[in-house]
Amino acid sequence: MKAWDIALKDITQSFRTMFAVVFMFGIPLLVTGMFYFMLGSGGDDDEGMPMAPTQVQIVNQDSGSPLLSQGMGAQEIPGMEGVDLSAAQSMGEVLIAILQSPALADLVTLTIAPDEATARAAVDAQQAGVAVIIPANFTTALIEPDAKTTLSLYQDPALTIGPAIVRALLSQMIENFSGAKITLSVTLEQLNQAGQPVDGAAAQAIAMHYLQTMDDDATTLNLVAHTPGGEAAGNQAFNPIGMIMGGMLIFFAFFTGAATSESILREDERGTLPRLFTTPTRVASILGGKFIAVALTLVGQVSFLLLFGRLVFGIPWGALFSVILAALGLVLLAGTFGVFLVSLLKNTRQGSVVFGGVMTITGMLGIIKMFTMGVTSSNRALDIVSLLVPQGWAMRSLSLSMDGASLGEILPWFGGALLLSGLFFFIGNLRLKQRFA
Amino acid sequence: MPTTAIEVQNLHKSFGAVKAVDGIDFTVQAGEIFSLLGPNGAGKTTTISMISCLLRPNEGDVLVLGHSVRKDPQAVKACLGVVPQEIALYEDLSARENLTFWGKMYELRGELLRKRVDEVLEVIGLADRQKGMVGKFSGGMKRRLNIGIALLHKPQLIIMDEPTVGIDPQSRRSILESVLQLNREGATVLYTTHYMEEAQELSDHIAIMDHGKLIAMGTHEELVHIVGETDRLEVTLSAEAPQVIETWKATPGVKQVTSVDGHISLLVDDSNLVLPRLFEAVANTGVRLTSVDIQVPNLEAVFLHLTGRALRD
Repeated sequence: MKAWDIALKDITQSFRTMFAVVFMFGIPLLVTGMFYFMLGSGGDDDEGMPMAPTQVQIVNQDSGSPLLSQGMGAQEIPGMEGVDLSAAQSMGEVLIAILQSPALADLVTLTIAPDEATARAAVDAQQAGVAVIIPANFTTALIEPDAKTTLSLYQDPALTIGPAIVRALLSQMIENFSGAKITLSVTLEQLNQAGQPVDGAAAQAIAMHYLQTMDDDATTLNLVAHTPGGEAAGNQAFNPIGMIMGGMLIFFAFFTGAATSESILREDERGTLPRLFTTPTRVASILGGKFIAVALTLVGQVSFLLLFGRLVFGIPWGALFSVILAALGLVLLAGTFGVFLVSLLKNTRQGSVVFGGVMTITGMLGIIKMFTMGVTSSNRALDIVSLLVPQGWAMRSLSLSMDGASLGEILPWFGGALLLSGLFFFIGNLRLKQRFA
Repeated sequence: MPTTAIEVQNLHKSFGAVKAVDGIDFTVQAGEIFSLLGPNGAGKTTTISMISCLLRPNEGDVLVLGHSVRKDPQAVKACLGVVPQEIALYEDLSARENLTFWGKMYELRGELLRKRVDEVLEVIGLADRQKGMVGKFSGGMKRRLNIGIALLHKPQLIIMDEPTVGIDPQSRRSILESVLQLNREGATVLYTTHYMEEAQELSDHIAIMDHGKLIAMGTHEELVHIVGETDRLEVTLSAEAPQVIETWKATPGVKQVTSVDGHISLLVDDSNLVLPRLFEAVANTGVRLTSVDIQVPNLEAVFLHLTGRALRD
């Protein structure tokens, strides 16, 4: 009972401090809001956030293949209506035609560069965000079974979102092309074994048929995650506002955990903690009250920011129970990490230094995924490094939830967070009890 | 109620090599005001910290209303009201919120808590400011609230650690009056101070501490008796007059005369009887008495007598 009284008193004090309220709610929302409007949203468009198209310089060195010397004909790829492939004599030209399609006009503005050096120079001069270099054997590699090739991307290191979008688009196309290649290879082999050799036009028709059926729901396997309302969550990996708000939420939740736990030191310095010890109140009740206050404050902060993000910024955090699990992990980690840090400090002056330094560094490291915007393929090392700090574990759970991961996929990360929290709490509680025994 | 409120037995407390309290014993009777008097650093706060279970003694024990601080600290805390030296309040809560919170810590709940908060607000004169944030209160108001918290659960024993430090004379007077009133209502008060006048005015018994030890203890009269029943006269003359000093030395009732740099100090049995004789002795010498200061024996003199230092040194 007394622990609750102490917790309620602490929470009342926290929410009466304007600085704390601004820090807990104002700054995360302000930062997210700034990005929200900076990235061009804020209008009535509920489809998402229209962004300025990324300038792409493309160099087509593809020498084509005799199989495609007659052009692609009047083929049409589903979802890419309006793409004229009739004159395309190489897969490089197909790629360019797709990137120039009206469907991608909002995302990409394509400029054909004469050579690789010019394209790279445009990126260096920040006239383009990305340069795409299609190799000479691109078509050959897609048609001949044993041939391999590499599509090169050269990107402005200062940009994250635009290059990530281009990378994602190209990855998707290459996956489709690779699928077509495998299909073609298997089909040709089967037909040859059956004594029915296939000419170039027929091979092309088979490949195009594969590409045409790629987007047909009746013939492909789909993975669709649903929110409790039945809305498809889809792939949220590139929801930049979600990623930014998630990062801010975690960054500032850890500050809240530390600042709320610091009330133990503040009370010690102001004489109210020693006075509490002169009342018939046990040390366990006093510390318990402090921990409850930290947890409840964090629950309030995290819940509010998640709800605000969903309702105002339209951020799909993922399935309800996945988000709850991720949020619970965050609350536990932020609270116990705060208690652990405070138990190492002698006074609030040390607290200012530690919170300013340690929390900022570990926070930045933990939410590094926010800065790479989900581009994990080239940042696996950073992804692993981020797990060295508790913020990284919280970010991983939330990212998974935003990516539409199931409860089962998040559980191991929650388990890790629980384990870390247990360790932080054990050490923190032990040290504080020893100190005030 | 036991007749002995506090029994301090061979109490020791050291911080590293520093002996803050060095084997003290004393007893506080129920219903009295007992003062611990001593300069800063004498060990008063350490002593009451051990009595109120904030510090654990290295040696010895304290029995508070029969409960040992070593064996049953929760029972000790339940019958104590402690007023700390520093103001220990939540500045971002109102006076009423502060009292309500602390009342809960003293295990008051519901209607009883509300009633006691109302009563204490009246006693400390903050009923009309009960909703005001403590951070905006004056120093005197904070001091009164600081005391009020210790009264919430109607403790049998109130410990006050220098409650008048750093406040204006009016608030100080008000606090001293409230201590006397509490005592009249039956509370036992253990009061620490380094102001001799406060100890003298309030206390039934006084213990003088210095360097962690009790150097004297008793009623005011008993302590003064230590330095003998003599008054001290500090006198200055308009000119040097050795013959006057010699005459004074021979005057009945004068025990001792010393002269340093024109300031003459006399120890006399009774200043009321001796002073006219001193004036008579000066009358025919051509010099005048330019100042006379009469000092009756007090605790300052006792401390000076026992330690060779002034209490405020």
